[in-house]
Amino acid sequence: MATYRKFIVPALLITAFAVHAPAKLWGQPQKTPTDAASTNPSKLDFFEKHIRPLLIEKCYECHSHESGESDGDLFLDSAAAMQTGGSRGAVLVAGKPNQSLLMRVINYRDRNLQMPPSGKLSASQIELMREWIESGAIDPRTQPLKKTDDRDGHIKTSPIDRNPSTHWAFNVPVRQSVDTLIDADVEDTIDVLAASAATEADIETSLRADRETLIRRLYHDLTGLPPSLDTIQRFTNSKRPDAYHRLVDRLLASPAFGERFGRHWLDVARYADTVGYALGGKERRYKGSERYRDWTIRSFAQDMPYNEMVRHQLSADRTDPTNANGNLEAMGFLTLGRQFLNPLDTIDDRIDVITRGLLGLTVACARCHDHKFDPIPTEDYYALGGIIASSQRPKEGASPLMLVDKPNPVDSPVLIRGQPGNRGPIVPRRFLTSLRSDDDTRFTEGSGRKELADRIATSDNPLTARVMANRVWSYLIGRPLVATPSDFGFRTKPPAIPEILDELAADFSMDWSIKKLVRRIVLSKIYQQCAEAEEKSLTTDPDNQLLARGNRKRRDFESLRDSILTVSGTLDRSLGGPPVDITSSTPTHRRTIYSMIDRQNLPALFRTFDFASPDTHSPGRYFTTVPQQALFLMNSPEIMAMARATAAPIRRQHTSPDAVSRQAEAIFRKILSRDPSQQELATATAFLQMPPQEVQPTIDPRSLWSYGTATVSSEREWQPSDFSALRQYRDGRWQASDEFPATAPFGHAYLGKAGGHTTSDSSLGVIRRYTAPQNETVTLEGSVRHSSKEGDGVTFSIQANGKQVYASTQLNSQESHGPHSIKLDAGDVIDLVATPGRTSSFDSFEWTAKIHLEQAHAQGQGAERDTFKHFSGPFEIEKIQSLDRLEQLAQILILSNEFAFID
Amino acid sequence: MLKHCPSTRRSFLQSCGAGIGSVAMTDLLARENMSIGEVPLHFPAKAKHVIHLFMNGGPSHVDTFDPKVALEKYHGQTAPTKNLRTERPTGNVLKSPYKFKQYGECGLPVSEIFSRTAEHMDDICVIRSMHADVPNHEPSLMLMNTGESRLVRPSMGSWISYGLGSANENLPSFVTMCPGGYPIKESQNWQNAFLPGKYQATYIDTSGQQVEQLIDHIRNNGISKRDQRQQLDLLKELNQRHASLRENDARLDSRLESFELAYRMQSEASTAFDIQREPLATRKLYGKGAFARQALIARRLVERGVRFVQLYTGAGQPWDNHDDLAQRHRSVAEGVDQAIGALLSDLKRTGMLDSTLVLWGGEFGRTPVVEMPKEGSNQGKMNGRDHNHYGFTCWMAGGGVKGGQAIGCTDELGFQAVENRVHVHDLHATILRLLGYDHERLTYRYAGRDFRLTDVHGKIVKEIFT
Repeated sequence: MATYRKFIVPALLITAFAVHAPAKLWGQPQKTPTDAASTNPSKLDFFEKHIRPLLIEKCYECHSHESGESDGDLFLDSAAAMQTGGSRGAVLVAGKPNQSLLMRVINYRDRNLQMPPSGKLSASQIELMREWIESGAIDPRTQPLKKTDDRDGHIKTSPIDRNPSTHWAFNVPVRQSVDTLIDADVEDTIDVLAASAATEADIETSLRADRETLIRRLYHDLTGLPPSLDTIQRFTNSKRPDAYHRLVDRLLASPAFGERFGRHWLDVARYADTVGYALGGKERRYKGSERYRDWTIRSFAQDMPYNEMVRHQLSADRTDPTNANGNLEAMGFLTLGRQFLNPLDTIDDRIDVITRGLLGLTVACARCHDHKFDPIPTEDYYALGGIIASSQRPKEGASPLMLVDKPNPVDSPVLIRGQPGNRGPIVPRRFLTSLRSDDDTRFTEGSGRKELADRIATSDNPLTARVMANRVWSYLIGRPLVATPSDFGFRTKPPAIPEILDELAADFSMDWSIKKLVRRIVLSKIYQQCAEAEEKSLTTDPDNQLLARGNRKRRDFESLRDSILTVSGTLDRSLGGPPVDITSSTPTHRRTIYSMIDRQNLPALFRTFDFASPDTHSPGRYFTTVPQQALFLMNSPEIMAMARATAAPIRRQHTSPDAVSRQAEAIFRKILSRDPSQQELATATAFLQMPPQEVQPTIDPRSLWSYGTATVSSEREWQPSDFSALRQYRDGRWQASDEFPATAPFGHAYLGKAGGHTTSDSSLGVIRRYTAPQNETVTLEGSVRHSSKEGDGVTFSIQANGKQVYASTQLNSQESHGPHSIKLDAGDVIDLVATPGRTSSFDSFEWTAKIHLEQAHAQGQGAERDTFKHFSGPFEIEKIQSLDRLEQLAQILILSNEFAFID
Repeated sequence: MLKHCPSTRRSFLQSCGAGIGSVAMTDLLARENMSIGEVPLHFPAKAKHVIHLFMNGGPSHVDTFDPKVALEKYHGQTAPTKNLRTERPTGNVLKSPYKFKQYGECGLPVSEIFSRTAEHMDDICVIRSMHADVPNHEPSLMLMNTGESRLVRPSMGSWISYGLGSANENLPSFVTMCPGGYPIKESQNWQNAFLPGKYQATYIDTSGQQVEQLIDHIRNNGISKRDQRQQLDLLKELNQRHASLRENDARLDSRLESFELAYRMQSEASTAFDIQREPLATRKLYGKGAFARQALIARRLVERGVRFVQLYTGAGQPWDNHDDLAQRHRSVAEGVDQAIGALLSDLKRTGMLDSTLVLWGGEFGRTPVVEMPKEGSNQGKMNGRDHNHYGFTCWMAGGGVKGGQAIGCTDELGFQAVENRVHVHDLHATILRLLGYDHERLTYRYAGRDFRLTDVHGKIVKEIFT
């Protein structure tokens, strides 16, 4: 039963008005124009003939009671309202056009305020206005055109005074009945409603899609995964009349349904696994965050009634205090938001997720002032604020996600203009004004969270069921009925066929079964229509508001990734558990819902694919098309690995002489779950027959450096001969043997990242050697340093192509060298040689150098080889196999629009 | 911080003006493929690009661009003005360790640690009366970058990309560079918040030098260029067949086109980020180090149409010198001064300075008084300065800015902005104005209201304009 909610203005509101009132009272009272009007019929005529039509045509749209708009708090539809003016003060000064704001704005003299915004009035219209004001601004309009519903008959200028019952969304939805079945094809009331609307608009509804399209669509919408060719064929070949129903039931029963709808809900709940920014490198991970994610999945999978879900999420400390049924985890809905330094911001975040997420109301707008459009006074914000502020996380509890009531719950004061130091009246903890009935008093049980939950999770609440039904509709149909799924306020228009949402919401609110709602929608004709439509439907209803055709959908990030894993045969279907990093170099094959969501530094991959921002409640996904998406799909090792995995078994399976076309066929079946057309098969086969081109391996700069010793002498200018590698790598150093120091002549000889130590023999240098991978001209620069005051120093020399490029001896000194320009052929070497003097004691040295290519050569090659950065112990050169043609074909099918879009 | 519900429907429609699906923008789910990133200009634009040289950590204004003789006079004494409360306890007046000199025809004084930048003073407009809200890094970084210190809001670069759109579809419109990691607050500094994801900055760690270290997935190590071209030809054929069996659906074409774009971007981005393609003389002009590299990349990006390029001094907060300020400010400045001077010369030489706004500054300045020694915070030393949000300096050059002038001033000591005060919101409003936007009308509808960079604040600093 619909409960009529009488609109009340609580005493507190009046206080609030006092705060805001001055803005509206700037206008100075003038002589009453109506008096003048009664005495001057010709001026009255002038007004009626010229001015009233002009005001109606040019101004009323945004400044009249009729339109319900009062931009700038200004009405222009009565003499009194024009006197009062808006936020900028009086509109006119009778008799003084030059002092009238109206003349200023219509003359576009004020750059910041030009009216009407759609275009300047003509010169003659402006002149009429001027004349009217000059002659006293006679204005007979005593009443706003439309009678207000204000009981006292006051001129209303505040949306706070709006009667909620005048807005469609604030009236409890009721079941619809339809008399006749206008089409034998449809049974459900919602289909009859849609068919009637289409008939009225004179457009044809599209046909039911074929079975193949339907099963693909159902799999996507209910599981986020693609069906295999086998599954499709079994369904399309089924003779059972109830095959579709059975398929729906099977998919609803699969765990994948819980994952799919769970992820939808995590968008609503702005779910993440980390707190956001943490000062001073503190732990960011929310302990146990995944418990909320898994609770969500489980609840959808088990079809927990939605009203129960709401109650647990807001007040499981009362509905399941010991976590006996695992429902305490539901409180992550409140507690997993971004962590703020200021507790007021945490409260704001929670108010927002509750009100936009569950009620479709933008209550957070009322933090600093009354809502600009909806009857949501600031008091409402702080009434909820008091509830949140009276809740806390217990030191020990049955769940890390839970909240409990504080021992001494308190009401919050209004913070005027949202500022903590500026306290207004204390507001009792209670439900929102516009949704409260007269006898609904303040909350009294603890913080009041449970009472709040009860007010939301009830069929008496006109918004809860509507908002959720609209969300579920948009998940399945691809577009919401109400275009702004988290804002059902006064500015939001009802759906084109409001009865459909009412019917679904009213039905849903009887038992709150999500699965029943889903089943009803997917069994409807509306859902099953194909995306193709007659031209007229497309042109007269481009947004498909009349639901006369299907909407083609694009896979979101999760569905795309999960589907690729599925066709490559690598999807790990295990459920739940701690989050996994899907962007690491050893990628996981878990479903995307299990990936770690770090809200502070969300990996670029998520953002690139329009993942819902985990910072605040998300009303719906974007679908952008940016080249970064394509780059990931074309070039990422992950996608290439999946292409390989897809191709491997097919290559093994088909080895016969006609293998190539068999393989092409098999890969179509596996990825697109269908046979290729003749043309496609021919093209794909031709592609497979082209020889692939090996990729030029990129140069790993680590591989260009080697570390060793060689015979040198000062007579030969330290020209090295008999280079032999240092064989042992220990603790970041290349050295001669496992033992250190080694036997003579090596002694303390070693080379590390930043320098090294000489051998104990002045005819044996330690050498860091660069080998040119190609013909190149390089510049080399660096710096040498010997720190100790003892000993006789170290001699540094650089040898290239048998020539000495540089030499110096340092003792407790340092020097920069270079840049030296050196021309090298492939295989040529540059040796950085360090040798001791007579003694090798105190011969530790530092030596870093950079070799810079004068021209970067082929792509994929850096221009720098750095002794420090590219120093390395033994390493495996990562050999990346080029993709063969079969793998390339697999990748292309994964990239195709057919794979990405669902008809 | 005030919150604000949508200004008006009128102004919303107005701001979206011609085309670009203004009304449909309220429909979140109708966004697919719409080029919504273009809000028509409200005024003729002076600047088309912005390079933001972010001196993160808070450079001391009294040691750089706002010299104060009174610091000499009162050095070691109690400040003659009220010692305003900052983050940490502070003591007596501390004079600048640096020498100042007048530069250019305008004769504006600049510290020796910015002598290379100073050669451009005739092109630079110094705003000495900046002020922010609190003396802490995190909120002040957020304020400078997003206009809101606590809540998640889009960054200035995101707003500008959203407004102006991209001038080169082969490159991101907003690029942030920082060598060796993030500044504090990390990627929140360049977040898109509720604006579509494509307006978030592409972050580049410039400690890497090779393009594949700079841009994700820009190269393919498993498929040759030739093979990839053949792959995309095949993809095109398959997609065209797919589309031919379906009604006109622009999304199908645009996704197809995105692969072609990506293919082209592989070479375009490689070129843009490869400073080795610059003549040696140019590279030398910018000098050594990561900041120099960033500055040169910034010029190459702007040249190619990137709208907003932000360069951080370094990871963490390099300018945050609570102690050893004399040495540390000098050394941090050394890392950026030559490159900034070179960037200005280079932009001027190529004529790009006229349409490129260069903004220099930190999230706040530093106190004219010494920070008291405290174990664990400044190594117990007494030779540094604390944070100061009451007054600090930013400067701008190019893009319609009248150089050779200083706007506003701080008090005798440089503690507090006193004349012609410019709040961060005012700076934002002014920058948007230079780009051709009325900051009150560059709005975006989200969660039931119209948001803007300046929230409910912002006044334009007209003296800045040429």
